[in-house]
Amino acid sequence: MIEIVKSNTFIDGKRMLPVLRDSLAELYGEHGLSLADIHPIEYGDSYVIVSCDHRMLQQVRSAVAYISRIDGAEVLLQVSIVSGTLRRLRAKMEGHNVYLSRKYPN
Amino acid sequence: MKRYVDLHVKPSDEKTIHDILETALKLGYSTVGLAAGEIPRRSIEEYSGLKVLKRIDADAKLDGLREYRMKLSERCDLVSAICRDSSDIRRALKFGFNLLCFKGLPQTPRITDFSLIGASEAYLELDVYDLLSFERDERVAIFRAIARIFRYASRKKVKLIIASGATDAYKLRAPLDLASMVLPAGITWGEALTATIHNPLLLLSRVIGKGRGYISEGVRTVGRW
Repeated sequence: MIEIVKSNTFIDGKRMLPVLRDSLAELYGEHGLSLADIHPIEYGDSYVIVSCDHRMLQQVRSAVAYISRIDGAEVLLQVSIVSGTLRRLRAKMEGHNVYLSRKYPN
Repeated sequence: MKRYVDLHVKPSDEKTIHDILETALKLGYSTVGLAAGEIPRRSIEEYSGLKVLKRIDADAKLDGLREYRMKLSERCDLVSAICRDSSDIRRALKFGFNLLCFKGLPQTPRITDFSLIGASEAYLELDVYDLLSFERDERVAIFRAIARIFRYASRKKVKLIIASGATDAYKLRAPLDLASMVLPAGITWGEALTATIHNPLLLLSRVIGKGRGYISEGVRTVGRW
């Protein structure tokens, strides 16, 4: 799950995927992009769930780290949850949301 | 729970300090090294559970560097030397700095510099903030330099530290994302993790371990007469 931690305007989760693809292609080329095999699973207001080849996980992570702008707006993205199965990912998301709501009640 | 440390953030004004600390907390850091320079800060030591280390970056070309370091060591948790060339590195090591960083990422690091650092207890810090501001062509040269730095560091047993060097909250990265930023240079994930997570914690344990009267590893002032 890739999450928008901070941005100065509202950014739809759908806008994140093309930017991620560009970043991955820029850093690792078309070969890297094909090996990563990224597919969107779910979009949210400030997150996107993406599936990728587990052998390219760290490379996808670095492509996310190099994204600093989406549509001209400054953003800070984070790979917040990584999981092998969707079921486990959703369980972790629930735990993540509970943790965040406890830590930042407002 | 894992402890993550970003040893170098350098906000430009007081508003940015709070912005950076808040974001660092959200990203999962437990400790941050704050180089706030001349900004009047109300001695921030803790920020909602985030430990804040006071840090000063001293130019290695300064006159009276030894006295300056000793004076600063009493007031700050971390004192680093900013080096531009081999003579700066030699000077900083001679005057007892245990944290060195380059002024910007060097295009052509030299192995002799690494031999000097490797022979001391010092850590070498790389700020990856520069990588975000460069365009593609410049970035290629920087990746080449990073690859060389890691290769020399492993040959000469230099302890590398990767820090964000963030000047605002948008330049911060989550700990594992920060480690992944050097992967395009051909660095292995293990090396990146050692430099981002393991080595900063080692330095931190030394910083925390040094209490009153600390001079260097195993040497402490017990009394004066």
